[in-house]
Amino acid sequence: MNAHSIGGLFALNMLLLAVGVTILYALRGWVSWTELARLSGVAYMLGVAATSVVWVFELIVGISFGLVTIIGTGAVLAVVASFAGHRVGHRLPGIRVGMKIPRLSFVSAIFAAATIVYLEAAFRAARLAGLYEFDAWAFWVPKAKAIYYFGGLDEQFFRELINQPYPPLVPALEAAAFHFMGAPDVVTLHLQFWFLFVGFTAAVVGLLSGRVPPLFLWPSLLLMLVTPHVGGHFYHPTADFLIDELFAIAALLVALWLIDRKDWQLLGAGILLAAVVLTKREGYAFAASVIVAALVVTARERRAAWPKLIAVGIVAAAAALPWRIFLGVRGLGGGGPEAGGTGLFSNLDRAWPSLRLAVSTLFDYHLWLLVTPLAVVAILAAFAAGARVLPLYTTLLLVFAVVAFTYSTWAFPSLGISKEPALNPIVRLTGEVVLLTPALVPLLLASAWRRALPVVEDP
Amino acid sequence: MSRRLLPIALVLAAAIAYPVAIVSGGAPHFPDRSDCVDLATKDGEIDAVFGRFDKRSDAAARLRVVLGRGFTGSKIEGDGCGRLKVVVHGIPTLAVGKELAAEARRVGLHVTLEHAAP
Repeated sequence: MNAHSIGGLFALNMLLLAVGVTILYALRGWVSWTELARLSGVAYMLGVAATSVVWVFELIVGISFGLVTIIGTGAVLAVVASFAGHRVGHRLPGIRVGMKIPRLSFVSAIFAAATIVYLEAAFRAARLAGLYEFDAWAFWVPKAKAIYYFGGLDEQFFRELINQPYPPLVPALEAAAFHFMGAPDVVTLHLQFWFLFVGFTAAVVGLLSGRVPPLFLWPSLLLMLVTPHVGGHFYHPTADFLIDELFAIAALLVALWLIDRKDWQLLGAGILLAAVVLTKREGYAFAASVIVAALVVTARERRAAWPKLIAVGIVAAAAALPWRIFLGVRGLGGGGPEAGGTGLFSNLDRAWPSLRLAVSTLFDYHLWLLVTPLAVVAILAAFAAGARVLPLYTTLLLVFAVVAFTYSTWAFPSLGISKEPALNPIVRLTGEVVLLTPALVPLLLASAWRRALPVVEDP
Repeated sequence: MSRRLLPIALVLAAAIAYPVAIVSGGAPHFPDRSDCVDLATKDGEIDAVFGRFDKRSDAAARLRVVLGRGFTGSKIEGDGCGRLKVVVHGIPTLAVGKELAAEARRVGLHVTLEHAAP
């Protein structure tokens, strides 16, 4: 572990950011460089999602995964996205356009300073973190090492590991990190997940700043950051936080689309949801929950809204298809639940304990502080103030999440009814709601306080 | 300074102050293989280490020498940092370890006394 490894990781993430910037250019463009800076977090997350989805496809079809493939994929995506952006009429602003220093309130400044210092401190923790998380050393990182050493999904190795049906987006990203670091440095690898978390944080701030009051945005973000489980786990080289980060930004983009009806928001959500379904098995449920929630709240305008939402759902589902075919061809099984379908009825005695475990974990102060209660209060406040679409959308997301968490324990009888990580992954699963909270709560509070939600200044 | 710049200056100051405060205590430390050597300074589970090697053949050669000079019980083990060490376990006190080290010096061997890995 050394400065060379950190420099390599920095280069990889600059590549992902550059790809994301071109995708943002294709989706919406920007009217000023300040606006691009504000949306750089979203661009980064789009770059991570799009590039790693293509990496997965390349692994599935057997393209050798080395530096040439990694960089070449980014370059091709960037060229295609730039060309597409140009074709749809987006143009770069002049150098001097929007170079003005952005206006920042003192409230924003204080919270932004606290957030930056938090992330700087987290950098130090991530830089020297050991590979102790069970899932990380048991299969996520070994899969990444296999891709790094063998250049692909070695048939025998991947058959012998646990959780073979898990899609390889995270191993591909980790293998790319190894290539950029110049070695399979499993300690510095934690910093890759720090970069992802910083990107997520910047994306939330970039999408919401200017459209919600700073007092609604920053405290809820900071509350999420300082929760014990987030602070101690977000940099572990597993898929748990990445899927939550991708999902939260996708759900936020859909929420903004419900307000603004800008197509780029839905297209961006589609790219992120494609990555969600290729990150972990529960990604299917997460992606479906966003689409179904949006379908329900747009029922009155179904003719205009539903085709677009269904198209996003199809894109996300289609992204998983090559991996499902690959699993079938190799005879690796689909990774379904132990007691899914009618099996649930033979385990009816687990239903109530599973639901109780899901809810109690979400509201566990020692894990998540008051994040979930804050979300509930924000929903109630928005409903009370007369808002309907956003609070209903958020309520549905929470309900679907609780149903999914309950199912995850109920349908796997081998899991204990316990928050103990060695017995049940429920704590990691509930991170979905926790990372969603700073994305949606500011919008809910803003609508509750009947603050104007200005339409973003899209070109 | 204008009111517009003041909040930005506050953010920049915090962003710079934290790393500066950390670095003022010394440059960031990147652990290296020397961090795997935990020299014994008090009694406890102590190992006598007759050298660390990158290649197994080098370690095996040293082991032959060590065994040949009477330090039975020596063996080759990984040190947890990607290297191999020739080691004797089970030295009960620092005083016993120092006697062993002196004995090794007399037959031309260098020994380090280290706390045994947990």
